[in-house]
Amino acid sequence: MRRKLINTNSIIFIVFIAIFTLVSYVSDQGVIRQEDNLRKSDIKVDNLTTKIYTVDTMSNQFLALNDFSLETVIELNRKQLFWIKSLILLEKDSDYSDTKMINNIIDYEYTMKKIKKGFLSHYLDILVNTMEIVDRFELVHRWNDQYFKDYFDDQGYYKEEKLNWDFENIFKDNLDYFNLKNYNYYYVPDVDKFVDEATIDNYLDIYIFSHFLLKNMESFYEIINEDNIRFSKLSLEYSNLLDEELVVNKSISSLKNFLVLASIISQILSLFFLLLFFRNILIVSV
Amino acid sequence: MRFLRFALFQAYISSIQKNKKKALLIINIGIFLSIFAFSSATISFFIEKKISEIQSDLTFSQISLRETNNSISQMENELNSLQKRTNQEKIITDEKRFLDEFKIHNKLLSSKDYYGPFIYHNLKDAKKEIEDIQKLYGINVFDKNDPFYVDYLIPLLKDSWEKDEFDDFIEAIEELDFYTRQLLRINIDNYFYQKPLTINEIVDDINNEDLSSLNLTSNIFNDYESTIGSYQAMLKYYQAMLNVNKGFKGQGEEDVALYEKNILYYSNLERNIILITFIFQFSIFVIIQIFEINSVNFNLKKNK
Repeated sequence: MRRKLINTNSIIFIVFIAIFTLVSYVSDQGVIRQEDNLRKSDIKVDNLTTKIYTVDTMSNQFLALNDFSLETVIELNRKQLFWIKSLILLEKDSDYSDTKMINNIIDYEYTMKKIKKGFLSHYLDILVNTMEIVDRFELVHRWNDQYFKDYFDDQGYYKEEKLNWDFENIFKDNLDYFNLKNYNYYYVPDVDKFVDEATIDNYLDIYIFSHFLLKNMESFYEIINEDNIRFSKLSLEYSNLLDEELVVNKSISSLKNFLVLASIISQILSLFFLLLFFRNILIVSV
Repeated sequence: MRFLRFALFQAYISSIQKNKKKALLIINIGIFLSIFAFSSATISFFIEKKISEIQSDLTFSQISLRETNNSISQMENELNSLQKRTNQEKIITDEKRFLDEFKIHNKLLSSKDYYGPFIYHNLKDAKKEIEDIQKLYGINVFDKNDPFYVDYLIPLLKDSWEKDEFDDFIEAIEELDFYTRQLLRINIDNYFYQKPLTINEIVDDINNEDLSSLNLTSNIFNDYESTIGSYQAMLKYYQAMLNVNKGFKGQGEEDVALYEKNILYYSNLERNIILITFIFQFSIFVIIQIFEINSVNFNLKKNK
């Protein structure tokens, strides 16, 4: 009697039960794997979001610095000839002095002191602003060293000085233009002493030095802009990677849901064939 | 263990010949329920497919919305900075042009001294910016005939915007194109001092009547006006592009809301169907358990 219970149909049903049970197990395994992939993808999304934020912040810093250096260069250039012209026209000893203008001045000594101090102040402004731009530029590198690995040596010291602030070298490179070829006399002058002692030739040297310092400063915003462009590109790159990762993330999530459903369907089919198997053995047990 | 259970089950089946009809009925109900369960699970499979499609659209809309928001924030910053620079330039220039009517000031500050650096650096900056944008995004936003406008943006806005707003946008890109061309026509070498001036050149500069006034029309003054014009055109362009981006943002938000609503609807539907599937599945499980438990009980009694 018992031998009769297992016929071809029963074997087919058992095979189906086995297959669907197996599919259900495989789907469950798949769900676990996809859950793991989803976690990894979430971490990637978080990392990319953080990277984009960091890169955008750096890009904004470079952009602000770029604007600052551009505005500074324009303003300092505009005043470049103002003081030397004032001195040439108003200095009584000058061959080019304008007597009419001199006579119109109420307090001549005071005005001349003001002009000379203004002249030096313009020169010092160039030095100070150069250093400020250099410092701000380097600070961005120092605080984000992971993005500027080439800028640091093995000991972690900042080595890449892209913005030139070697004033002495600028002076020496253009030595032929100066009347007094003594860098130390001009860097950094004691304002009151200089106003009392300096001749018109010294002021002309200050004008010449200012000219070359401003030329040097003009190169700054191009260099800063290069870094800005580099980070804008990087931001675009990361954004594209983030977009791709978000698509991957959503597809993993969908696949996981499909696997859950596949597992449920397999279980149902497994139960269905089990019932068919029961039915079959009941029918054949006559 | 499974073999043992199957052996017990075989013995049990052989013994229930009296209740065979009843057993068959229960099994048939189970089969019937399993077909229902299978159908509902399959339906939820298709609903999940639909959700997945909407979710993919939602992802793209969210990405696009995020990019639009970034553009808006960057543009607002650029606009503020440009507005500030333009206002500052206007205030300083008004003051200088007033002072220029006094002889001493007129002699000390020539039009080349004052306008020159502004023209030179802005022209240099504009050239670099055109090049950079071209490199980064592959478009020339300063050219009204760029395919980005002609093939994409203009047809899109023409269909969706009011005529007045659309005309304002066209005017903004035309002005930007015009002033950029004007700006790029300036010979940059005219404003470039490679070497410092000698004292004689400075004196010549002071005495040059053509250069002395900030208020008289001259080539330098015209170049300055073109440069300022490009600033104004840029401001207008940024405002127009902000409106475009805000329009995209509004559309994007509507799309996202619609996709979210659809996902929510299908999600609820799927949840309910899965619940029904579970109930069917549970019933089938109960039926199978009835047979399994009875078979074990039967064999236990038989052994006693």
